[in-house]
Amino acid sequence: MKARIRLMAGLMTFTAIALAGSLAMPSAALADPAKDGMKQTEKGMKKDKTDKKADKGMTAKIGEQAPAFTLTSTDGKEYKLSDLKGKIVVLEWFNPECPAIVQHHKAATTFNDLNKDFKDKDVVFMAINSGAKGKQGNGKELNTKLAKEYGIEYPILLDESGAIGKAYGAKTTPHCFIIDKDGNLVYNGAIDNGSFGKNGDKNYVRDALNQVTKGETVTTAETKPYGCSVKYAS
Amino acid sequence: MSTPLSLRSVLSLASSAGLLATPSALAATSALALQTSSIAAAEPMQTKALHAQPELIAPQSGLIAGQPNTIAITFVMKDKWHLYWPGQNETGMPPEGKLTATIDGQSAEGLEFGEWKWPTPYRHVLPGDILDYVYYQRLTIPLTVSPPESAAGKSLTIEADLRWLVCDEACVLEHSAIKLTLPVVSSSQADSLKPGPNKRHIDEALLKVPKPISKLVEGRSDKPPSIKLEGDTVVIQVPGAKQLAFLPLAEGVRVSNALKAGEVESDTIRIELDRSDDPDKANLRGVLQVLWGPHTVVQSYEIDASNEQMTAGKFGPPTPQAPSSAQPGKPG
Repeated sequence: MKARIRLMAGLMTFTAIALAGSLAMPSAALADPAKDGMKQTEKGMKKDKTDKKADKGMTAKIGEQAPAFTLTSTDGKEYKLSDLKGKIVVLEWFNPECPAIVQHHKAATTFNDLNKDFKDKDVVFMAINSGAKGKQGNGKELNTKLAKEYGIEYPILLDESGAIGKAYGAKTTPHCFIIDKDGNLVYNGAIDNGSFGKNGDKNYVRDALNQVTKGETVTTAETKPYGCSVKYAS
Repeated sequence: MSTPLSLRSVLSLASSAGLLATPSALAATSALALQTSSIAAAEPMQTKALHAQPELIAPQSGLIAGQPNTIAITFVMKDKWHLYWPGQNETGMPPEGKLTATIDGQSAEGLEFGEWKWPTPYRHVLPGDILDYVYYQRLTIPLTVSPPESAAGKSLTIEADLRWLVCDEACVLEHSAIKLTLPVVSSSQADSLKPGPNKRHIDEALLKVPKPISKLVEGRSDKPPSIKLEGDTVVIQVPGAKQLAFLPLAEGVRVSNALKAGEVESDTIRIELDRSDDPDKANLRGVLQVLWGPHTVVQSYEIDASNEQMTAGKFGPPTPQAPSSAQPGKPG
């Protein structure tokens, strides 16, 4: 859809340039100024919309309220972020077949260890899979099966439309977000300072949780996540 | 999923030049992904078919002792799969690995390999406004190997232990160890070496490796390209250029801006810096692509500009380092 908009915008620009730039163009080509005007407006509107979205970049901002969500887990339960006020929430963007997820859930137990270490400190972990139908790592059964294999004890929420992933600006799997007890976003980024296939020696999520559970400000609130792309529908 | 540059009049030309067209990677292959995802577990050697098949290649039938010889690592990808550039991608990981050599079976200590020279990649925009820079079909990374004088008359074996992430809609981590054995001749016998079929892949790749920015500045003293800082925006103007693109090698460029304005049909490109960490510092490191007109080939130049250069409004003196300073094993 986006490609089509760009293509249309491109063709319109091209047409506009051709119309404006070519004196040899027969005047008949300019036949319907009203229509051209509309096209121009339409193009302008579309452009504005794209620009706004791009300018905003990530919708979820550090220090601001984290985007609300209501999502259903692989076991059919509904989870609402607003029900978790008073808890610290860790969101892990998830695709059980992405090698970077396998790295932290099978080759190592990075997330499970964190969950174990912090679950008695009012910290709630949740995985969110924003992969669209038919894409890698999608499907209730597959996620249930692999979550069991990986020993994940927290819910896997399904976001097939990708709306919540985009609201947070989740780009990779894994991509981690931490929300404080007041519902504000306090961390956005990588699990650690590693890379594909190499776990880091500094776990950013652990460091952030150590601070936020003590009521301190998170020192490193934004890092660059690494992993597979989130397999969005559009 | 498409790029303005590839949609316009340059389409057919750019495609045939293999420089700008951005094939879209579609087709969900979850069955395939399921089958291959187990490859991610560390196994010493691949037995299943790889989605990107690496090979060590040389342009001619042997190497010359006592001087740098260009060889290359080349990957042939399955249709619609891609590999990553070691610049500022939002996802993925570039190929990385280690090269070692033996001379007649003995460890070749002191033998040097040059840096990996990465060709300019393609912009790859995914749903969710995810921007990566990737390679399709074939990626050839030239580098040099310098066998010592004492290696003349012997045979040199180069081994590459490589790993890489290859994606279409799914991503698979693969690895392989590959070898290439070549005879080494003395420089007086260099004429005995014959060009091989892989020479053209290496030549093509070298053409796509960004040149130092000084090459763009040279010979344009009447209308010199300029670089300046306006607030948090770096403005690069290349008088006479029809299209420009900027591909960031280092952090510090706002991705939303790169997505929106990383490619323009203009002689001026604006690159927004993220200076939240240090408002006084401005650095810009990346690749500038220039298209002069519909019947020209896209040229790439490496920019490494500092505050001072941007304040002075012009590109600095030629950097002493080689064009591509991206190192293997250090994804951006």
